[in-house]
Amino acid sequence: MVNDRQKILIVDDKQENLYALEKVLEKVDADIIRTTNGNDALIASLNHEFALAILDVQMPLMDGYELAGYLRDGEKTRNLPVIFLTAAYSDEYHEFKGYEAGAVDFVSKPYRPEILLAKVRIFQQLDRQRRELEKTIALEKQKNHLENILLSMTDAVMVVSKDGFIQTANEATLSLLSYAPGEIIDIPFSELFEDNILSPWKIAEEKTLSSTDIKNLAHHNIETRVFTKHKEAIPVIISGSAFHDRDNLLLGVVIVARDIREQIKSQKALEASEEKYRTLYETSRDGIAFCDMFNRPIDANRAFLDMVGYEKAELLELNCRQLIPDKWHDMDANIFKEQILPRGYADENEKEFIRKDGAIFPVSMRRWLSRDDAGNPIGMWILIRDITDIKILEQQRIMTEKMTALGMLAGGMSHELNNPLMGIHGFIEYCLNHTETQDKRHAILEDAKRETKQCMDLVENLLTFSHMGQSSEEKYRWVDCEDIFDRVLRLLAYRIEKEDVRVVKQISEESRKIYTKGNTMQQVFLNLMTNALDAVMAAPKREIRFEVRPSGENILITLSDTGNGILPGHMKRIFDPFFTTKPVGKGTGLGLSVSKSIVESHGGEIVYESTPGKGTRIGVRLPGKKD
Amino acid sequence: MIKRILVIDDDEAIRKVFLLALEGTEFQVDTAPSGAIGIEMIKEQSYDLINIDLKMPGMNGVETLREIRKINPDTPVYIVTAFFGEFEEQLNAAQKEDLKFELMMKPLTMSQIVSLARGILNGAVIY
Repeated sequence: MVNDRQKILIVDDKQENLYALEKVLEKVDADIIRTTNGNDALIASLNHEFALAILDVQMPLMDGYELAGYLRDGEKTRNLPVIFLTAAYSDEYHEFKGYEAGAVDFVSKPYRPEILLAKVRIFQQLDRQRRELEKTIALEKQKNHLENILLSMTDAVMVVSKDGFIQTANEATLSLLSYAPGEIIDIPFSELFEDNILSPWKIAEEKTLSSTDIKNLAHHNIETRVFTKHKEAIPVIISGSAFHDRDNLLLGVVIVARDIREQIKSQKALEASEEKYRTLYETSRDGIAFCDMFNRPIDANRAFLDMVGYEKAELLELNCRQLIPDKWHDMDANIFKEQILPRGYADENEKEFIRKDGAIFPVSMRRWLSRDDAGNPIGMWILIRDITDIKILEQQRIMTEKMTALGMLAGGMSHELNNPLMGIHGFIEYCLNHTETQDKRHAILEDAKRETKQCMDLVENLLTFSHMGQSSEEKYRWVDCEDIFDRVLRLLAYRIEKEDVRVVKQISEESRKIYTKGNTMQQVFLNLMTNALDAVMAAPKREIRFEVRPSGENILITLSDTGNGILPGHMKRIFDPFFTTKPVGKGTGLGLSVSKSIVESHGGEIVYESTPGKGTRIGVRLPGKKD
Repeated sequence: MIKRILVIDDDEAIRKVFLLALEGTEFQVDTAPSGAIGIEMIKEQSYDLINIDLKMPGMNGVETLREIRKINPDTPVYIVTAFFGEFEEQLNAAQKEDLKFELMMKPLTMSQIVSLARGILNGAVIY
C-alpha cells in the first residue's frame, strides 16, 4: 500500500456541480478523483481504490443508478459505498433496491454542505474499519500458515513472552520435553533451560527481556541443555530472534531448540578417532610432514620439527627442497614424475636432510600423494626416519667384519710365517753361538737375529690385534692401556717412521689400567692416532703426545698433536656422523662418532680442545680401577 | 742316564732348530716328521719329553697325543703351535679326556728351547 490516504470518486455531468462539491470536500482528509460521465468513472475505479463514490443521479447516457449497478458488479468495487445526489422532489431512490444496506445513502439537492460532510465522514470511517478488518483476516491467514510450519518442524520451536513465559510451543517441543499440549504454556523459560549458559537472559528473568539480551540471543547458536518434564537434561543448540510490534516495542522471543544428542554422539566418536590419529601423528618417532604440490610445507609433526631443527612457523616459510641437499634434487624430481604421480606413492629411499644448523643427516624417506574428493592431487605426505644410528651400526659391523677377516688371515699367515721365522731365528742363533764375538760376522748375525725377531713380533702383534673382539662372549677385563697403545703404534709404525713423527708416551704408574672388552678401545686409539697423524702431516712440527693420568676417580687418556687444529666452525660437528674434512675416499666421517659411542658404552666420555694453528688435544675419560 | 727328547714336526726347519739348539747339551734329541712315525719311535724307545706340532698332515697334534697316552700316560708332552684357533675344540676335548699336555706358543728361540728342556727335565724353573 503506497498511499494510505483515502480516495473519493465524484461524478457529475455538470462542471459547476463538480466544482461546488470539491469545495465542500476540501474539509475532508482525502484525495478527490472527479469524472463527468459514467464511463470515465468506471475506468477510474480500475486504477484507484476508492473509499466512497458520490454520484449524481441524473446524467445523460449513463445515469447514477446505472453506474452504481456496474460498480456493484465489479470485483474491486463490489463493496464501494455510494452517496446519490438526487433532486428533492424525486422518489427515484425507490428504484434502487437490493443494493447493500448501509452502503448507500441519498442526499437531496440542493444539499447542505455539513450534512454531506457528515455522511462522507461516516463512510470514511466505515471504510477504515473495513480495511482494518481485511488486514486482520490476512494476518490470521498468515498466522495459520506459520503455525503449520511450526507444527511440521522437527526442531522445538517456542514463543516466549517478553516477561519470560512460554506462550506457544510446537509439537516437537512437547515430544522433546515430554509435556502434554497445554501443560507447557506459562512455564518460565528459565525452568526449561540450564541457566548458566543462558546468562544473557538472566536479567530478563528478573524483569523483562531487554533489547540487548535479545540481541545477544538473536541468530546465535548457543549450546545448552533443556530439561524435560521429568528433569532429564537434553543437550540442545538454541537460537532465537525477537519480534516487535509496529512501534518497535518488544513482544517476545521465538526460540528454536535442536536436539543434538545424536550429533554429540557421532562427534565424540569422530573426535576419539581423530584424537587417536592426532596422538599417533604427534608422538610418532618418524618425522611426518604434509606439503602442497609446490613443495611448500603445510604441517609437520613434532618429530619432524625436532629432526630438522626448525619451529613450525619457520618451517612453513620454507620450501621442502631447502631441507634436502642439492645433489638429491634431480633424483627427487624423477621419483616424483615416475612413481608418485602415476601410482600415488614413492618407494622408500635413502637420502639426506639438512638441519637448520647446517648438519646433514641420513634419512629413509617415504612419500604419498594426497588427493581431494575429485581425485586431483593436492599435496604430499612425507615420512622421514633418521637412520644415523643404523649407519653407525652398519659401519661398526663392517669394522668388526674387517677385524674378523683380518684375524683369520693373520691366523693362517702367522702359522705359515712362524715356522720359517722360528727356523731362521734358530739357525742364526746357532751360528751366533758358534762364532767368536771378535769375528765381524758375529755382529752381522746379531743384526740378522734382531731383524728376524722384529718380524716375529710383528706377526705376533698382528695376531693379537686381530684376535681380540672376535668372540662375542668376550668379557670385560682390566687391561694396561700402554699395551693397547703400543699395539696401535706397532700397526702404525711404518707410517710414523716414514712421516718422521715423534711419539711421546707419558703414563702415570698408579693409574694405567682400563676396564674394557675385546679390541674396542684399541679401535678408539687407532682412530684417534690416525686423526692425529693426519693432523700433523701438514704442520712443521710433528709430535704426538700420549698421556695417561688419574683424574679424580677416573682415568684420563689424552692424545695431543701439533697439527693445525680444528677450524672453529667445525668444532661442534666433529662428532657428527659423516662429518669429515678428509678428501673423498680417505675418511668415512665415522671414526670419531664410532669412537664416541665406544667410549660412552664404557661409561666414559670424549672431551677435546683445539687451538687453530697450534694443535688439538683430545681426551678419553674412563672410569678408573677402584682398589 | 741320558734324558731323551722327541720332536714331532712336519717342518724340517723346526726339527733342525730343536736339534741345533740342544746340540752339545746333556739331552739326546730324536725327531719325527709325522705323528705316525713318532708313535712307532715311542713304541721302540721311551722318551722323557715329547714336543708335538699341532698342525700336521695326517695325524694332527691332538690325535698324536691321544695315541701317545695309550702307550705312555705320564711322559710330559708339549704341544707347540703358532695358532691354535682351529684346534680349540679338539684341545678342549683332549683336556676333558684327562689327557695330560701343555701348550707352548711358537715361535720359540733357541735359548727358550734349551731353558724349556732344562726346566722340565732337570726340575729347574722355566726362564
